[in-house]
Order: sequence, then structure tokens, then C-alpha cells
Amino acid sequence: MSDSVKLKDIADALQVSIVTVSNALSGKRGVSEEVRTKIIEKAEQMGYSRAKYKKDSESGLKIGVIVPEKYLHVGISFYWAMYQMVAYRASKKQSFTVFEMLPTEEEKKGELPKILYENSIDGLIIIGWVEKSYVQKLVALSNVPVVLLDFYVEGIACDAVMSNNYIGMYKMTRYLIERGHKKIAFIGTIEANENIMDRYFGYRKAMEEASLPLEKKWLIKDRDAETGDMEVELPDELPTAFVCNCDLAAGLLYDKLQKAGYSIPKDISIVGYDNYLFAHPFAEQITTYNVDMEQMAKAAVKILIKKIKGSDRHQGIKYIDSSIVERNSVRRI
Amino acid sequence: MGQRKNVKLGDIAQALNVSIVTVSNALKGKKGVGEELRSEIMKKAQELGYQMPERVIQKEYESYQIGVVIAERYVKEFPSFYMDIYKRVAQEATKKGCLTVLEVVSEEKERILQNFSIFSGIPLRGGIIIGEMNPEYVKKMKSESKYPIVCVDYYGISNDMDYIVTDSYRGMQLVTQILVDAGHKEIGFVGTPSATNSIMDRYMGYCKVLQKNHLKEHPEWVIYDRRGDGYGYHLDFELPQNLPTAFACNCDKTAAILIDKLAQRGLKVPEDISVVGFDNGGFKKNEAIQITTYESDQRAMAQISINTLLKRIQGKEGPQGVRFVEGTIIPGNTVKIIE
Repeated sequence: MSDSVKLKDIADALQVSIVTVSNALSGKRGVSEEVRTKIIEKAEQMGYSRAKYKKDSESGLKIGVIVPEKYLHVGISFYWAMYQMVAYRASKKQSFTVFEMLPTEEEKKGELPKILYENSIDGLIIIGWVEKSYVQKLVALSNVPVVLLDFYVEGIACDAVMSNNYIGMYKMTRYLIERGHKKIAFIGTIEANENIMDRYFGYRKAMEEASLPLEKKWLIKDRDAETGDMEVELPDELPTAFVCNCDLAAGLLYDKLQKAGYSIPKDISIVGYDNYLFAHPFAEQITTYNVDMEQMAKAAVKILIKKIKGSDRHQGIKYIDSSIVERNSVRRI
Repeated sequence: MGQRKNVKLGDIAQALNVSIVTVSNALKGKKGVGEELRSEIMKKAQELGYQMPERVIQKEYESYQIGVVIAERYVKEFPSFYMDIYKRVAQEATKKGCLTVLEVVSEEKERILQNFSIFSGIPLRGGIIIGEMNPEYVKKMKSESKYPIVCVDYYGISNDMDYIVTDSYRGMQLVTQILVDAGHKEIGFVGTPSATNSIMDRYMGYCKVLQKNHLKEHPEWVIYDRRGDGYGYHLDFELPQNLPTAFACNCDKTAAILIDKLAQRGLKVPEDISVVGFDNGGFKKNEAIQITTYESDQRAMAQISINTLLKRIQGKEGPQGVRFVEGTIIPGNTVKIIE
């Protein structure tokens, strides 16, 4: 019998709303102590199992996840894998995710994602860099906590979880320097996004620290800053090693070098970033910085759930550092 | 009273006609003893001059002794940013029932010019290194000790250590951006990037803001303020003839010296030249001039450091590399908005 008592029964018995009963039993704010005590008493009296309620209220958090379309095109998407991790982490917290791809046009037009209207989501995670104005609008209109994953926009009050681009690339470049390389090029369009720019400055830090010259000819673009279309051109004079802003670019570089008759790492050394390269022969060989997707997803879900539960911890960026994955793309010289 | 050292638990037990176990439990604060009886036992213990052996206290509170290392040069300066951090680390440690032992390392020792020795054999469960030190020394300490080590405000690239650091790179971006937003296009940097990791990070943050805003880097406006090898703590520099409209300084102390040097030339801050700094533990120039700066969250750093160390001591999770701790912008009156 006690199993069949519902929140509505308690609400009816006390002439209050279901929401009030729910808030009172789950210990949320907005219910006076007096009413709360009354509700708890009534619930016990009617045989309502609070243990069960507690479990119910903690489970079933609905987390909206948005990934911009432009990132889902490229090969087997890095961000799709990231989404997978988020979904897994959410499930570990008895919550589930609602996924929506954000078409580039809608992002440009500033149209809000449908999940904000159609589903009553409790919180939102955005994976991958989106226009500042768009994020601003989302944060202002969504009415739920928002966590940005793998990017951050200055001046917006929400949390972000990121790979430590600066430190990560610093580590990769030092890895090359410690193995005797002095002529090191950077591959990546630094104007394309802030992650690439931070990786460039990680590279630059290691170079300056070792008093190695930064040559203009060895700062090489890997994509069109507007469209994101990727292409890598070899410089006229080759360095002994390349630092690539992502494994995808490293893959393209590898193809070009192979075609030009170079062998890796015998003639040229390469390091990447992400530890995410699929369906490419270089994947087995590349020494790269591991972007710890699992830790990032875990942190994002944890922060979001805390915020949903009303934590007023201040907002900020959480950087997740990780380690070098050593394979076979660097030669000691 | 002369027999103070010889008082045993059994003596107290006998005097009160209770069991030794009860006495022991009462003194250690364990359960199973009534409050009344406990206070009676404590009183009697005091009366008899009983002293609890340290070993027992330690075990009871799961208290760990933690060794803290700071290089001498940071202790010599005043105010000392790193001694402030140490104070907070010690406070946090106490809250967790731990004790800290401080060793100040001379330059000679740090360069490992003599035999490596540390904490003269005091049994420790964990170590904390505050501030940047000779990487060789850090490596040596790591390999010679059997306990986990956390580095505060210093980082290397080792995978088996935790580094808790102020976000110098981003912090300097935020203060430099204030200058850019105020309309400055000619911005210099005061600090020796090669001197320490954190100055290099601040310099990189400064360079990034220039890059992001399509401003040119002028090597003549990067002014070194100290020795480049990390061992110096003495600050001094010369200003170039031709000055930019604003300076980002690697620390508030340097900013204060800069403001003096500008005054000697008859230049006022912020009327003639704008200046931003980076924290030095609440360093203040004077009442009239409040340097616009970025302040690290020393408390959060100390808390995270102790929590991380305790986690590692208890064998929870492996080291996680570099962890950046955010600080906050402290607005002052050293930035002028220009056209």
C-alpha cells in the first residue's frame, strides 16, 4: 500500500502544490520550515517512502548537450567522442543526456537550440567553441546552469572545463628539446581559435626558455581561419621537428612528408596534441599529448550537477592537465 | 612532582579504581567513556603529571608530519609572498590535524654543492615545495624521499608529481587586456622571463594579448628587472629613453619601483604612463597609489595543496600534473583611459 502513495496524494491532503511537496522532501529551498515539517509528517503518516523519493530526486537529472555542427563533420569527430564520455559520466550519476547538434546557420542566426523549449532540461553542457554572442544569449535565456567544455569565452558568467592547452604544448615542445631538437616548427593557425593560440604560446614558452629562435617561416598554418578547412603546406626549409596543434594536422603533415619522400622519425620528428587520430596510419606511431576526455567529462558533469543542486561556488575555468603518450614519431638527435 | 615522567596509565587507573583501557580511551578522546568519568580521569592525569607520549597523539589524530621546503632567497625578501603561502599551508595542515616542519634551503644547498640532506631524518609522510627551485634539487628530493610531494607555485613536467600553481599565464592576460581596453597600443613588459617559470608564464600571457589584439611586440620595451638564472631576488632596472604609454609588470614590487623611476623622470602614473602589476602578497606602494593588479588566491592554493597531499598520502588517485588556481583582478588607480 505504501508503495502506491504519490507526491500528489500528499499535496492533495495538505492543499499545497506538488512542487512544494517535492521541494520540501528533497530539502530544497523555498519552503518554510513550518510547511516542510508538516509535509514530512504527513508523508510519514501516509507511508510515503522518503528513501525512495530521495533516490528519485537525485536520479533523472536531464542534461542538455550541444555540439556545433562544424565540429561533427571532421573525420570521426573528437567532440562526438567527448559527448560519449559526458553521456557515460552522466549515467554514472543516475542522470541522462539529451543531445542536440547546433547547425552552423542557426548558430549564426542566434536561434536557440530546441532542447531548451521542448525538454525541461536541468542543465546544459556546450562542447566546442561557439560564438561569444551565442553563448551569452544561451546563458541569459536558458535559465539553467551552463558548463562550457573544451572552450571558454571571456566575460561570461559560466563554468568551463578545458584541456590545459598552454601547459600541454609546453610539455610536448620540451619533449623535443630534451631530445636534442633545436629547429622546431609549429603547425597551426593561431588566429583560428583560442585553443590553438594557447598551444602556440606553450610552444613559444618552451622555445624561449631554451633560448631557441622563433622563425617566422616555421610558424605554419593548418587551416582556413574562417571555414576551418584543413591543409598543411611544407615550408621551403624543413626543421628537424614539428609541433602540431592537433593530431589531425599531424596526420596531414605526415602524408605530405611521406609523399615528399621523408621517413618519420628517421628524417623528421613530429609530435601532436589530443591523442585522437583515427583511421590514419600515423595513429599507431604518433607521440602526442593526451587530452584526458574522461577527466574532462567527469569534471564537467560534476560541476554541472553541483550547480543544478544549487551550489553557488564561483564560476571559473577548470584546466585538466594530462601526460605525454610516447609512441614512435620522435628521434633523438 | 619529581616523578612526573614515571606516571603510567596504570597509576591513574588505580587511583580512580577504573580499568587501564578506560583511562586510555578517556585520554585519547575515544568513545565508550561517560563525560563525567572522562573529565575525572583527565583531572587526575593532570594532577599526577601524566604526559601523553607523542607517538600516541599522532596515531590517534592520524596526524601526519609534513615537510615544507622554501628556498632561502624567498625568505630573505620582505614581504615574502612564499612565507605567506607557507603560513596558509601550515594553517590548513593544522586544520587537518597535521604538523608542518619547515626547512629553509640555502643557495649552496639548493645547487647541491654539498651532500644532499633534508629534514635531518625527521620521519615525514609528505612534502611540500613552495616556490620555484632548482629542478635538480626538486628531482633529488623526489628520488630521496619515499613520500608524495606537492609543489606549490612551481611546476615541472614530471608526471608523477602534483603542481599547484597560480594561473600566471591567464592572470597576466586579464590585466594586460585592461590596458588594451583602456585604449593603450604601446605596452611594455617589466620582468625577466628567463628568471622563473612564473615570470615566463606572465610574459607569455602579455605576448598573447598583444597578438590577439594585433599589437606589435617591441623588444626594447621588454625590460629585465632581475638576474636571469632564478637565484637573484634583487630588483633593479633601467628605463629606455623612448617609453610606451603603459607597462605590465611581472609583480607589484617591480611595479612600485617602476613608478618611482618614472617619477624621477617627472612622469606621473597614471596621468602620463599607465601601470598594471601582478600580486606580491598584498604589497602596497602607498595609500594614494593603488596598483591595478591580479591577486592569487593563496588560501585556495594552500587548501588544494594540503588536500591533494593528504589524498596522495592515503593512496587516493595518482598525481595529476599541473593544476592552475584562479585569482582575481584587483582594480586600482594606475590605468588611464586614452584616446
